[in-house]
Amino acid sequence: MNIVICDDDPVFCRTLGKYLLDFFKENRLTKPEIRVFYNGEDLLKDRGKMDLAFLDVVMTGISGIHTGKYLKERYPDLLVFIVTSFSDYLDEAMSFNVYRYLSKPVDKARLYRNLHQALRTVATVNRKYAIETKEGVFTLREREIIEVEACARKVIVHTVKGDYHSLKNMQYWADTLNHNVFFRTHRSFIVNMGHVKAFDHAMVLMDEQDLNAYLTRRRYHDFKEAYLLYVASTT
Amino acid sequence: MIYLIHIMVFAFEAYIAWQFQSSLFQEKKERSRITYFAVYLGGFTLAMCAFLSKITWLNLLVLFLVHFLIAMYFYHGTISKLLLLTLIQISFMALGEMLVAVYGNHFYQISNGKDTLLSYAFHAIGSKLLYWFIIRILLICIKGTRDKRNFGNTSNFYEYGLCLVPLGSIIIFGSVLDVLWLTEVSFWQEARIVLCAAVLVCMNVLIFWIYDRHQQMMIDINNLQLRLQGEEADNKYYHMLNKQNEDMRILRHDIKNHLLAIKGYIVEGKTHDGEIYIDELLQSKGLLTPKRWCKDPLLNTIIQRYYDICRAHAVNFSADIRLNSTEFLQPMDVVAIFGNLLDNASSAASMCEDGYVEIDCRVDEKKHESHIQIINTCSQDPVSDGKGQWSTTKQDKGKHGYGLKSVENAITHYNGFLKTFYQQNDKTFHVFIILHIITGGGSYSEYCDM
Repeated sequence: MNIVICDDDPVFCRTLGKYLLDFFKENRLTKPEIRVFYNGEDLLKDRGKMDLAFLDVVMTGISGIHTGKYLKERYPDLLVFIVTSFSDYLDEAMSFNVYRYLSKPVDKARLYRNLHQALRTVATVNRKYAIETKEGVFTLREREIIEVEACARKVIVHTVKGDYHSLKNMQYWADTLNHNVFFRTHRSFIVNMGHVKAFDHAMVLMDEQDLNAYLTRRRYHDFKEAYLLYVASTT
Repeated sequence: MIYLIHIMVFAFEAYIAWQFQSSLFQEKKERSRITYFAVYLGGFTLAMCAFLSKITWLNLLVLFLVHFLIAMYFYHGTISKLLLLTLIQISFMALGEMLVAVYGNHFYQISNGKDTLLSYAFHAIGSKLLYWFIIRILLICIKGTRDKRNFGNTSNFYEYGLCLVPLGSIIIFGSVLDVLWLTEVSFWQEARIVLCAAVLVCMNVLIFWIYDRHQQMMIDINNLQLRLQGEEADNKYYHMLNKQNEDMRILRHDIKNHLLAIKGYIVEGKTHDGEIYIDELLQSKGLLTPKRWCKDPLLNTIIQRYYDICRAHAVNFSADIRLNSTEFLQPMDVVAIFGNLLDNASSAASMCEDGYVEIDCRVDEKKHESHIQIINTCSQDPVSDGKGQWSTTKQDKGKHGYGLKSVENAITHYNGFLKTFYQQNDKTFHVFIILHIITGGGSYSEYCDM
């Protein structure tokens, strides 16, 4: 886990760094690599890997808002925490997706809760699956898989990068895919709930126009519950 | 020719069923009249085929199944409710058949098995007209008082119990019809049969009326409770406003003394003491500017109010309201959703040590949805009422327990979903809402089921 802290207050940086190390220690996780910067320019010069970023809004030089924007363009999966003592509404000024806003002084309990959620999000982003096909083995991220479909004795894994004819059967995919993200709506369809656009009692519409999945009536209620829990966990 | 009468009669029966069911139940989806016509006609064609078998019980069974399955397909309603109202409908139909069969004995030779075209026409058309007449009377009686909204989404045991009355009536009607087919009865026997039929009709009408009134009463009680809750909210609001005015009055009253004190420090050259005095004054309640939580001023006021309440009870409060996540909501819905949820959340969290309340509102731009999540700590596990809802823990149960119902009512305006769950491991209660963002003139987004 790679974490960056950017604030012009060295005392705050030290305190936040300690909180982060305590969190990982208390939860028996691998100690993260924490890099501290005191202004936006130095942070932007850094080309190391980043998973989480804690940015102050008001700094000398480039503001936290601009720094965050450039970082998100470079690392789309980066989770940005904005830490500020501003009491005014900040989201209006943001031109990128902020993961969480934290007020100074940072409340440790709240920080820990947010870190739990952030780590779950990072784990989801990084989770990968190997798709074995006749042409070879392809590794894709969880969120790149849209749905798995059984069609004419073949199993097709529909992804954002194209379709893959898997050598494994539907049961393998039902057992392998993460149940918190994927749901078997029909014996021939397993959908990634992150790609669901809409659904009714018979059909699940996916983000991609030409990809849909049947939904059996008796699974409708369970699917709806699972979908709501999934969306709640990713908020 | 006789088959033409069959077709006309069953088509008329399909029409009566459609009228009755569409008056009582709320449609699941908006469908064209052609769809309704086709399904009803198709169902009653099956019923006609069963009728042609001349087995009374088979006929009744198929009629019941056709009515029940069509109602389940087109309309909202619990199984027990649909079952009860379908059985009542069939019992009226069977009554019409029986009464016409009784008097048909006098003028036509039905019971001897000698069916003439005229006798059949009299029986078929007469019974359906009687059936239609009873249904019309019922619908006229309940017209204007009916709220078709499906109250409650779980079957009730008492509705199953009430089904025994129309079911018993149908069995009696069917048995009498069977007897009338086979034997002649005397005048006094006929009179007794008619009297029994009349009593059974009255019982079924009474059951229907009591059930309908009960449903309406439950809705009225619900509305009354919501109004009481609203009045209590108004009461709290006026108290809060009064307190604010009081704080401002005290500040205005003291401002002269404060200014004199500051002047004294300046005259004596104690500028540092004067600065400290001014800093303390700036931190006083009357001069503190409330934090801006979001762009919507109404929601801002609500959140600020609960922030103050939580702070007074040493509850940690945080709110993350993203741009465009709530601006599309109507003011009444903002109050219904956030007022109720935050009231519940702050009450629960205030009873915990290290309690907290967190609100998170975000937009999913791809799906054009707003996601609202409220999490609070609980000192004890919440109690389910056994109907998929949660019981209120507040003392005056008469005035409380309707918050989530009010929220559910508000989110229907946005084709929304509400999910509540409790996490045992960290003793937190979660409320999660998905709303479809309405743009333009306030029409609802046309999605499938989301």
